[in-house]
Amino acid sequence: VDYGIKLSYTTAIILQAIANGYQYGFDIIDVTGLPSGTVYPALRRFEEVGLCDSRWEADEVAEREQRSPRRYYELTEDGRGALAEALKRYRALENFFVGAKKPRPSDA
Amino acid sequence: MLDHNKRRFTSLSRRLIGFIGVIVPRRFRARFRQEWEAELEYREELLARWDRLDWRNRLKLLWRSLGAFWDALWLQRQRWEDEMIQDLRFGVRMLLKDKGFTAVAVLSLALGIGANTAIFSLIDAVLLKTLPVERPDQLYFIQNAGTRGPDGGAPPYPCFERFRDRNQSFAGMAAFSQLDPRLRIDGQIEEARGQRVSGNYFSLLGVKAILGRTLSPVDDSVPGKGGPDGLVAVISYNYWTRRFGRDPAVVGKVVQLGDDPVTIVGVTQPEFYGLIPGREGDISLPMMVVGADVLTEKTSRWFAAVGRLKPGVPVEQARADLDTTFQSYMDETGVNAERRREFFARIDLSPAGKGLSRLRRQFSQPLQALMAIVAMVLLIACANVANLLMARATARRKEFAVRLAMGASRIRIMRQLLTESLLLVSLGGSLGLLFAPWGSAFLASFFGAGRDRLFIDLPLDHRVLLFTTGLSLLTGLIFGLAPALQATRVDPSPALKDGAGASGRSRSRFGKSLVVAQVALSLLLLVVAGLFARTLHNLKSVDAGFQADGVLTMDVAPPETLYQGVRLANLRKDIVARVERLPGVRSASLGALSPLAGYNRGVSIEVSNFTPRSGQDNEISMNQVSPGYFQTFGVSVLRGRGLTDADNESAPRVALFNEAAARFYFGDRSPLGAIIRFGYSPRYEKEPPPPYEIVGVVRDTRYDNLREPDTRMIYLPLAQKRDRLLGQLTLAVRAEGRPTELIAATINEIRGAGSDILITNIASFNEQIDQSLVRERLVATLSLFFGALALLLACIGLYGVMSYDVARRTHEIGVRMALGASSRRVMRLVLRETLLWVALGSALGLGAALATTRWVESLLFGLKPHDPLTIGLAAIVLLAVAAVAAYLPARRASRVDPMAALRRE
Repeated sequence: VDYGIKLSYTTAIILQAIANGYQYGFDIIDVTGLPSGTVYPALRRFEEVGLCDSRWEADEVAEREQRSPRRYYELTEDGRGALAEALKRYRALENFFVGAKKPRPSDA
Repeated sequence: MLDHNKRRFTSLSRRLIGFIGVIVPRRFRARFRQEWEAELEYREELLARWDRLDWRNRLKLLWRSLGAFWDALWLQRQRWEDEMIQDLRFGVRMLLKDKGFTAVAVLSLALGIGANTAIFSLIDAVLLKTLPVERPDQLYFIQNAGTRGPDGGAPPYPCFERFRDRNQSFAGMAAFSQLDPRLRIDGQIEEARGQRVSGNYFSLLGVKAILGRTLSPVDDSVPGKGGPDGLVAVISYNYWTRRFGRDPAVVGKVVQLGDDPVTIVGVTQPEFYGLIPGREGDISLPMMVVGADVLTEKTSRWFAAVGRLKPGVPVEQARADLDTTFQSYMDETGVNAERRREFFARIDLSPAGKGLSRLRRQFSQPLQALMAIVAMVLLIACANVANLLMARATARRKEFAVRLAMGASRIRIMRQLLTESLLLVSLGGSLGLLFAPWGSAFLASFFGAGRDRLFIDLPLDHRVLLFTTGLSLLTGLIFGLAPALQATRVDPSPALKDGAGASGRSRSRFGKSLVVAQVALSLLLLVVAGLFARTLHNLKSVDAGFQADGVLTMDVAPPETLYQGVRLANLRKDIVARVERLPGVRSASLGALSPLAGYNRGVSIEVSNFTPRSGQDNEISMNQVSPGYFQTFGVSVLRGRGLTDADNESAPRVALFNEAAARFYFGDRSPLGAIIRFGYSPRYEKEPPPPYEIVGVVRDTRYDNLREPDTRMIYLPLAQKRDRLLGQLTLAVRAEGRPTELIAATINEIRGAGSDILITNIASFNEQIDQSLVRERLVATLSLFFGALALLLACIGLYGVMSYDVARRTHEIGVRMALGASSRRVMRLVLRETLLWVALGSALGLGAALATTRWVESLLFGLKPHDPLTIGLAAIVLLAVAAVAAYLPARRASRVDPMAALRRE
């Protein structure tokens, strides 16, 4: 299947991070150890080709915590497919980020 | 608390994000900033809560926020993509909205670009393109040179052999010479264009065979015979296509050259036509076919030589190398000093990468002139489009003002306008390319006809496409930039209040100065066109000494194997007699040459009682003709008698001079009875030829071309000819009616007189004259066409600008009329202003014409570059056409309804 993107190790690792609940840009940077200048353009590209969607935190949550709403990313159906495909190639990734402490997006 | 925190956390990192956000496309900017700021804020808050917001972590955050720069860069792509599509879509919509405007602009550009493309393809083919051979930069023609200049000819063949065998500077050398063999192919005699080449010719040039093989040195080893197994030949790709329908079985096919069978062994690669541009070599035979007697001639110049320099050897060193051999060879031959000075003084090397071309010499200047002309036509077209765009930009001021007010940048609007220009120009360019094949076919038709037809390959190749694309882009920038600059120099607030107005006057002034420039350029082009057209007319009406109308000519070549000696003489008489008996024929004749056919035969004579000052004084052009020649061409006999049938082989030798020869050798005295002795070569004639007696003087006629003043001529009876071989003669027939109506009957009579006679180059004499004027016709026709085009475009421009002006001044005109100005007066007002601009343009154009036309002086005939009649005529034509273009807007102005005009304000 063509996901419109090269399933490189970097791609795979970012997809895996999102899949495992690291959904904010900075969290992905933290957990993958990739530089921000790699992660953000990758996220834009994923969104462009439809591997992930992005949303903003609900205003109430942000207001309650007295800060601006953050943007978080979710895998789409395609994104999950691409990840599965990538995991076949990079088997070691499968257990990455599982069980790590995840700051979940705080929905209302 | 919140405010306090906010202030505290407006850290360096977040200020950096704000800064980077500036380069993010507006559409993404807010989201970009919020995402990064929210992350940073959240992280800072978290760190503060844990009391870990120390300088190290701040630095880490700062480092991380630098990544936003890459994010922003990534988003740039989006900006270009969608803004470009946006621009394009909007541009297409704007073009479609005003179809009249688009049509005029695109058509102007198409004509301008198409003309440039066609002329460029011709220039490329004739002047620029290097031959499709290997490393053309290493190739040099080896010529001998003297006071009469290098003429492309190589030194005598034995000397060439020494060069080939002894030189240290060349990797190889090859010889070639023209030859149009009469071949019998499948039982039918026909003529082919061809050449003789030495066996290493193709390998030296690096020209490959696409079928079979090329010639090898073995094929060119036996004088008179070619190879040990007889003659072989290679044919060109074009000839293979044209004559043999690309039949692969052509390899191994045997054709006849005279008595000799010739085996075709290969087909050369496409695009290779030989080393002489303009001449298509259909067939290449080995050099040795000329026979030992020619190959051993010690002082003849009859072929050309090309050599490939060894890498790293300087040209001058190679020249000196050959020159040493050359000088010692010349010392040995004992050629007389004058001839040596004139022809064999030294060796000259000239770059061969573009081929040996008289075509280039002949057409270089006219083509440059034409290129300048079409460039000006394109400029005029550009000015038109710029004017149209300018008018539109003014009309769209409100749109731009709104966009600027809403925050669009000036660059963005300029880009929009340039996109529209490029859209226009790419439409124009594509249309121009569609015209180009017709243009090329038209141009090629100038060259491709007649006896001395020139072969010019005008492909629409990548070079031409590249030229057109580059030209179109440049054009788009030229006419797009000014309106774009002007349109965006808009102060939003007044422009928003009042749709057009404010800068209409300055735009109008810009438009008018463009029109002045257009008028000036048009006048210049009209003057040039007039000069060329009158040159052609002068040449055609020059008194050439003959009566061209009503003469049919064709070349007649009986097979040498069947007709020789008395048999040949009888055949010739029979042909003339048969044709003369045809109804509608006044007279017929045969001649070795016919006027303006492009051939000349020079001989050396001794004239009794005349002491030459130099060898040149003994040189004279010779023609050998049957008695009816002078009557047929309408050349009158001025003194003594013409030729008759009684001047046959056994009769005393007689000859005629033309006036120029009579005057040169005898001044005012009568040349009748003078004795002429021809120079001769003991190799071919055991004893000196019998002397000829001058029995008459005929009028001068132009021979080489219509420009050359009349050269000295001597005419001999065909029956008493000097030339050993005269295989091909020109039959001339004077008809009572249209000469072309006699073609079929004449051919019939020739066929009846003898079998297997090859008849070629059938044309009326007028067609032949036209052919000799190919350069002049080309230049005159094209410059007239382009001059008219320029005038048309300039008038469209004039009309457009004045219409716009009248529309802009409707109010003013309304006021004038309300105050009592008559409509006639208003009309005069507008006309006067228009004609003032035209007069200004004309004055500038006149100045330009006076300053520049001397560049084309050498192309003119019978008039000076400042010919007042031509200039006056051009000015009158321009003024007349401009008056029509000015009248229409003036009339519209005179019909302004004052009430309506005033109400509008």
